[in-house]
Amino acid sequence: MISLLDVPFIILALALFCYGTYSHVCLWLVGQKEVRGGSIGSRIWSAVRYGVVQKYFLKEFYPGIMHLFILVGFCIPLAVILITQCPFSLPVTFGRYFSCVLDLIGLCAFAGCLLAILRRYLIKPDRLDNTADDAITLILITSIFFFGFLIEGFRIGITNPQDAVWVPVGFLTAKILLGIGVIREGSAVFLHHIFWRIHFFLVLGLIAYLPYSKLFHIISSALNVFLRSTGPKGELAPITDFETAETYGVTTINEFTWKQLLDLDACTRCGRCQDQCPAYLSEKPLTPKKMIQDLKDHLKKERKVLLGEKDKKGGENSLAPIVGNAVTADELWACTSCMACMEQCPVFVEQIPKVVDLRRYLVMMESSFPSEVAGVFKNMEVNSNPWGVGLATRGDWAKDLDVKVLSDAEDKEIDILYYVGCSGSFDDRSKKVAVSFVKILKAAGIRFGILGAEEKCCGDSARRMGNEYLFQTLAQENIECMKKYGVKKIVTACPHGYNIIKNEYPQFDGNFEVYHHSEFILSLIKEGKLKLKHSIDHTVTYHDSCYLGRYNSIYSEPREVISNIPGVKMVEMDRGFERSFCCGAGGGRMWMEENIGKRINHLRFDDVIKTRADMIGTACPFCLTMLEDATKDKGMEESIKAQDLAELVLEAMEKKDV
Amino acid sequence: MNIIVCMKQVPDTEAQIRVKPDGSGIVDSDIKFVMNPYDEYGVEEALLLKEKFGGTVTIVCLGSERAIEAIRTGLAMGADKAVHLDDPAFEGGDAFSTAKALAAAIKGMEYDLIFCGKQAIDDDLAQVGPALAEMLGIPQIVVVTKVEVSEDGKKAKVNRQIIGGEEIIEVPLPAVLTAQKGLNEPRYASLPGIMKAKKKEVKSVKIADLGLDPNAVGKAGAKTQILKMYSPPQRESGNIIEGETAEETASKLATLLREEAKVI
Repeated sequence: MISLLDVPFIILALALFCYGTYSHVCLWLVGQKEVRGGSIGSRIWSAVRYGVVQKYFLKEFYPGIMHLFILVGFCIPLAVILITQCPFSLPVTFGRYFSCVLDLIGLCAFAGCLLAILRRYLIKPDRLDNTADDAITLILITSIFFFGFLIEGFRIGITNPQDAVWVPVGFLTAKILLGIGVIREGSAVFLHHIFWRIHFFLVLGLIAYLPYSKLFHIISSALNVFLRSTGPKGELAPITDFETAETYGVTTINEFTWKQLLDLDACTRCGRCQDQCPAYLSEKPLTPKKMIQDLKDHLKKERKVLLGEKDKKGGENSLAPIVGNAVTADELWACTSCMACMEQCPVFVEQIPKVVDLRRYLVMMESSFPSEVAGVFKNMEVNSNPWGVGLATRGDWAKDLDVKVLSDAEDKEIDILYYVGCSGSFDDRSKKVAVSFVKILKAAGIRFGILGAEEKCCGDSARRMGNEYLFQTLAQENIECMKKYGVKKIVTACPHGYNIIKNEYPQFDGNFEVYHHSEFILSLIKEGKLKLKHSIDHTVTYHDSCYLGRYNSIYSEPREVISNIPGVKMVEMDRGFERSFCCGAGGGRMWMEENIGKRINHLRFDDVIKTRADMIGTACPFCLTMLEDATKDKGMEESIKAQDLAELVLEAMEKKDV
Repeated sequence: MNIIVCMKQVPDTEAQIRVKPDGSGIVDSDIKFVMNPYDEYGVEEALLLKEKFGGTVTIVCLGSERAIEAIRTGLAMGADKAVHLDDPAFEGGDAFSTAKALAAAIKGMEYDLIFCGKQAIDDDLAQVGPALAEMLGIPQIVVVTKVEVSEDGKKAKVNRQIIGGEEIIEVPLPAVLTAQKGLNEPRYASLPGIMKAKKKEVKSVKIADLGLDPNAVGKAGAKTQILKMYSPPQRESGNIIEGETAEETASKLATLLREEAKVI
């Protein structure tokens, strides 16, 4: 057992552990201030609920169970070993059960290690990459459990205690060892001692190595789950000091916040994000996993400069810009902000805010962005819409519909404002959706109005592309205008407008009760205000919009609306709900050329074709455009139609003879 | 190298233009104004030359108070300072009287090169640049798509568009060059640029500062006057001829062409 001679080794291992951990913490603290509020109790509860339960059991079975085995097998025996260093005794019966469970937990851990080895080196899923550290760590843990069972087998084999069957794995190991004749009188005690020493030093080695290896995620990932964002999903932090700041966005690694730097350390390279990333799957240069890893490497590379340690040559070093050194501009512009990565990440790494922070620097400081975006920004500045159509014509789509335009109406009283958005106002295809929705609202007798020429772009694309200044200008103009008319409730058919008005306008004191038209139409149907009497004989597959689904967890409402239509048969695509695959237009990608790799909307259309549906149901103007474009590109616009759910509902209300 | 860019604020290309009831001009409330796009090429080219040769870029703008927005845009792009001829007496003029005021303002300044847009997109006159060069007594090259200034800054080799080709001309400086699309890709102002622009010097110039006779500039000094401005008549919508068969449609068309249009 442990002797006085071991104390220096224990101290050394602990010292190495402490120093390594301290080094990580020092690097996190070079980041900028950020407050992660909320009560500790609720944070612990949500860490357990979301971090452990949901992520492990509900998402992916094999890696989930594998990791759970190792985690439990790692923590519980460790706790028991620490506790049993204190002298106490347990009632015999309880002790039996206890040691039995403990033994089986150890077996699970050993099995988990084998599953990990099998997965990493034989199954080799695309999302895993292998480094020396992975091998060292796996060998270390596996051999600790291996020697653990070996010494248990020797102990039982030598002492042959009465209740050995209550330690089933140890008992079995002893039988095997005895059977093959390894346990012999004379050498057995010595061998037991040797194996015990090996086990002991492996454990010390593990403790010392932990902060220098991927195993550090035990600390960093747990911390990251605990400190996860509790705000609206995918919310971006506003820049508040335009007038005084000298620089905007992030260019050097220390301009990230401490939490963003902790994120880098929390990533375990599991690759779940990459598996879902539309940029990666369409052969763009971006993979969220690699980006986070490259940022982490960059952080380590900049360590000396960050911590003010002297360079070997004694010269003063300055920090290198991230773009061009750790991440390329093409990677940043490939992101559709669909949030599939953040949704999948088991440890709540926040990839998209980092992409946007880096874009912010490129856009606002260096005016560096894909060339086609310059026109989009100018159009938003001058005419408050990305196409640059004259702002005075914004309400023209509704001219013949007898819609109350608040600026012109004498009676400005309304129950709800219909925020039309740029697509509904200017895009010919989406105008049809706006018209359908207006007819539905009228049929239901809703007192609503629009802002007409006074409405501005919601600013979502501008914000996601990194032009925070332009976004805030637009947002403030909208908020001011909405307040001017005393708007309380807003409904919109665009998930981008919905998300940003609902979740991000409050940052600028714009607090409204916001509904997406799918929610609103569903409530009208439920209240019996809409009569869907005509049958629509189509097989419809509903495509989840990222900003409606992942960002706002609205999955069932649009499906319910569609399934309320008589005659409709609904089918699901392979990738749906929180694993829905982006149409390719989010994060400002709507306004950029897609000239690297495959087209994301084509990949999504392949999902549609597989369902044999003859209609795509959408609830987002961008998705509608992208998917309808895909049907045209593939020459299938006659056989597979793309329709917004408002159009379907209206058709069911007043069937036209098509 | 000190460069002057003459700039005009014009209605945005997408703005809905309405003519004043008396036909004297357009209604300028409710529409967005921007920097004349051709002048933007001028600003960009001046900035590129400044980056190469150093010196200053000065914007000279004749226009009402609201033109300050367009001036700030140019300053945000990187121009150093601006001169704003914002006396009401300068307004309402034609190309001649406008050029006269600009020439008077520029005369007292140091410059090696002057850029103008090839034309303003509102009145499409394309005359201010050439008139300004005449009044200053310096050479002019119009519709320019490429500018190469010699190392010593004394002359420039300039490409200009002609029908079906290009012409390359060498010109001693100072000269007036009017910028055509294709000269460059104007930059998008950075946010620090926008912030700095708010603090840059914009010198307001009144008619008295230039020692000009009020009757020589603006509307009073114009050589031409607008008699009437009107919107083009609204086109009547076309007729779509429909029929069960191609023959039927064709015969309907033939009847209409003969009886209504009377062309066959």
